[in-house]
Amino acid sequence: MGKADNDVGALVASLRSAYGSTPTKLKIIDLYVVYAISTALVQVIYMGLVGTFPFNAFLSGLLSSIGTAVLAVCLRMQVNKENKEFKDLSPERAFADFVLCNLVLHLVIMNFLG
Amino acid sequence: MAAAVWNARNLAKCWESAIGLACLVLLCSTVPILALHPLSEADKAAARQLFVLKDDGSFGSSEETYHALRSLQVLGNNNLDTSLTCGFISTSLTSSKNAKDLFYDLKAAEILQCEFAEDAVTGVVSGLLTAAKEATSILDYFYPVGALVSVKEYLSEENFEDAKATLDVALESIKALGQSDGTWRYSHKETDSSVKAAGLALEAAAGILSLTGLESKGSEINYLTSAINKLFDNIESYDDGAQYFDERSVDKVSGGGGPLAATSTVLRGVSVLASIAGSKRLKVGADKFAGLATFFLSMGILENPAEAYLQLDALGILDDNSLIVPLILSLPSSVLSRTTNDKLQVAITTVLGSGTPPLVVTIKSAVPSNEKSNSIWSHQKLQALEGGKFYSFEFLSDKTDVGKYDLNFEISSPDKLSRYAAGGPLASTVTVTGKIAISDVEVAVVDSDTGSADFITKLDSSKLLSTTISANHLQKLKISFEMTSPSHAPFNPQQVFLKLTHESKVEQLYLIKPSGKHFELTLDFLGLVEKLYYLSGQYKIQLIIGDATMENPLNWDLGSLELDLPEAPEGAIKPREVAADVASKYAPKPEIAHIFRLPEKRPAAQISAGFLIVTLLPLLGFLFGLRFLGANLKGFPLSGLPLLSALGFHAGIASILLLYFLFWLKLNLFVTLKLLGFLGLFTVVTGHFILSHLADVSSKVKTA
Repeated sequence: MGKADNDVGALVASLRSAYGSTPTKLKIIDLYVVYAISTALVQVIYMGLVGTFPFNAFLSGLLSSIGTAVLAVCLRMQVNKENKEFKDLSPERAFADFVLCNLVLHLVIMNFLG
Repeated sequence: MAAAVWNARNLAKCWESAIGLACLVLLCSTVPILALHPLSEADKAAARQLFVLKDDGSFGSSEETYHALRSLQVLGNNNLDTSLTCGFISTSLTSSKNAKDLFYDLKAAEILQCEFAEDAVTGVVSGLLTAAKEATSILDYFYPVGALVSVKEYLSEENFEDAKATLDVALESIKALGQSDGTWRYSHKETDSSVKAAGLALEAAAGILSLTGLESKGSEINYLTSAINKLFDNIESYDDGAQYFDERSVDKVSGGGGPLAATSTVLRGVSVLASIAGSKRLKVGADKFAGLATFFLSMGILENPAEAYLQLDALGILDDNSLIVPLILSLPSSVLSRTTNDKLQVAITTVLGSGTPPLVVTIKSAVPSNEKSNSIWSHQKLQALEGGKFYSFEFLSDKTDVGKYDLNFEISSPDKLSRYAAGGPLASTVTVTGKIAISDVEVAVVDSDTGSADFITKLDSSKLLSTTISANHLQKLKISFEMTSPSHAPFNPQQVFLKLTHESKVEQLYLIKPSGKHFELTLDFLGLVEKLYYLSGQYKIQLIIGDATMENPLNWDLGSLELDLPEAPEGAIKPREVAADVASKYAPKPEIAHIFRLPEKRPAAQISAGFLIVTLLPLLGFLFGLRFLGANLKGFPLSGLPLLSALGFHAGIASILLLYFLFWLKLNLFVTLKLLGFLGLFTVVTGHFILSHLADVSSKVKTA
C-alpha cells in the first residue's frame, strides 16, 4: 500500500514539475477553463437540488459556461507553441477568433435566455 | 303573403337538405327589383328625429338651426314652439358679427315668420351692404346677398340707389368668376372651378336680380341660363337612372360635401333663379329632374343632420318649384291575387308623397317577366281615384295568368303647361298570385321486372289524405300528379320536392320535374339502396310544392312507406348523424379559450440568491488564481495610438456585452442587431489595431 502511495506521490510530483514548465499564458487559460467548468457545475448542482424550471434559463447558463470553456480550450490549442499544427497562426489572431466566437455564442445565449 | 311565409318556412327546410343552395338560388331570383318610392311617413318621422331642439330654442349654431328649420319645413307637420326659436334668432341677430351667421339667422326667421324691432334690422342691413361691397369670393357675396334678400323691405328709399350700385358691381364680379363649362371659381385666387360654387353663384346672382329688378339685366340672365344649360349637359348618371353633379377637386378643399352638396346647391340655385327670372327662360329637361329625384330618393334618409338637410332641401325644391315637379310612380301593393280579384293600384305623387292635379296614366305594356312574349295589355288608360294620388285598373282578366309582369307606364298631363312631368317611361313589377289546382295524384308501387303495378292508390289533394304502402328493393315507387294554373295553363312551381324521412330521421329529398302539366317521379329502390343506407323500416312520404305566385302551397303528408331493403354489406356507408334541429347545426361552436401554461413552482428567493453567490465563487477563485500565477497588465500599451485602440477594443467588447444585457431586458432582435452592427464594426477596427500592434511587438522580440 505504501508503495502505491509513493507511486501516486511520485506521479503527482512529476506532473507538477512538468506543468510548472508550462508558460504562464497557458496557465491563465487553464485557470479560465477551470473557472468556466466549475460555474457550470454549480448550475448543475442547483438543477439537481431545485429543478430545471425555467428550463431556458438553466440551459442558457449551462451552455454559456461550457461553450466558453470549449472556446478557451480551442484558444489554448492554438496559442500553445508546442502544438505544431497551428504554428503559422499568431496568438493575436487566435485571441481575435476567441473574442468573436464568444460574442456570437452569447448573442445566441441571450436570445435563448427568454 | 302566405306564399312568402311558406317560402321562408321552406327555406329553413331546404337548409337541411343537400340542395339548399339550389333552393336559395331559386328564391333569390324572385326578389323584386327595388322600385323608387316617395318619402314615406316613416321616413319623414325618422328624419324629424335627426333634429333635436335645445332648451334655448335653437338647434345648435345659427347654421344648424336654419338647417333644422328648413328640413322640418320640408318634412311638414312639426310641432315647433315658434316664439322660443324666434327669441333665440333675435338674440343671435343682434350679437352676430359675420355675414354667414346673419344669413342663417335671417333665413331661419323667414321660415318661422318672426317679427323683429325695425331698428335692429336696419343696423344689420348697412352691415350686410358693407360686407357685399368688400367681398371678393363667391362665399363673400353669397351670404350678404342672401341675407339682404330676406330683409328686402327694410332697404330704405335713400340707401336703395347706393345698394343698387353695390349689387350691380357684385353681379359683375360674380359673372367674372364664371367658367366656360358652367362651373364657377370660388375667387380669383383659385385656379380650379367648382360645381358647388356654381350653385352658390346662381343663388347669389338670383338674389341680386330680385333686389335690383330685372330691367336692363338681359345679358346677365342669358349668361346665367347658358351656364345652367352647360351644367346640365355635363351631369353624371348612375345605372339606376339617378343623375347628379360630381364634386370637383376644389370642393374637397373648401368644405366638401361630395356630390350631394354639389347637386343640392345647384338645384337650389337653379330653382331660385327660375322663380325670379321666370321658368320659361330655363330649358331643363324633365328627365334631368327625374334623374335628380332618383338621386335624392334612392339614398334613403341620411343620418348626418347636415347631409340630411342637403337632401331634404333638394327634395323640398323638387316637390315644389316653378320649373318641373318630377312625378314618382309607386305601387301600394305589388301583389295581385286572382282569388280576391285585386285591382292594380298605382300611386302618382311628388317626391314627398303629395298628390298632383289630374293626370292621364296609361299602361304602355305589361310583359310576363320570365318569357319575353307579347304584352298582355297595351295603351290602357288607368282610372283616376278620389284624392288625386291613386289610379286603378282591372289588370286581372282571364288572360292574365299567375306570374310576374314587367309594367311600363306613361304619364301625360292634360294641361300642356303643367309643371308636373314624369321625365320618361316609368317601370314597375307586379306579381299575380292564384290558387293552383293539383289533380290526379297517384301513388303506385311497380314491379321492376314486369312493370306491372302491384299497388296503386289515388289521393284527393283537397282532403290531403294519407295512405300506407309497403315495398321492397325489387320494386319502384311511382308518384304522379298534375298541376294547372287558374287559367288552365301548365304551372311549373319553383319548388317541387318529394321527401322521404326514415324513422331514424335520415332524410332524402328528390326533385320532381314536369313535362307539361304532368309531374312524375319514379324511385327505383334497387338503384337507391346505397343512398338510403340500406335502412329498412318506416318512411314518411311528404310532397312539398311552393312558389312565389302560389296561394296554396303544399306540404302534404302522403303517408307512410314500409320499405324492405337487403342487409347492408360490409363497409357500406353509414348515415351521418342528423343534427337535432337546424338551429343547433348552424349554431356557433363553443368558444375555444386559450390557456396559458401555468408557471411551475419556484424555489424561495433566498435559495436562488444563495446560489447566485455560489455561482460567483468560481469567479473569485479565478481572480485569486490569476494573482497566484502572477498575471499582470505589463503588456498593456502605455501611450499613443496603441493605448487608444486597446481602450477602444475593451470598451467595444464591454459595450457589446452591455447591449446583450439590454437585449435580455427590453430590446428586440432588430434593434439589437442594428446596434450590434455599429459596435461590432468599432470593435473590429480597434481590435485589429491593437492586436496587429501586439503581433508586431512579439515578432520584434523574437527577431531581436
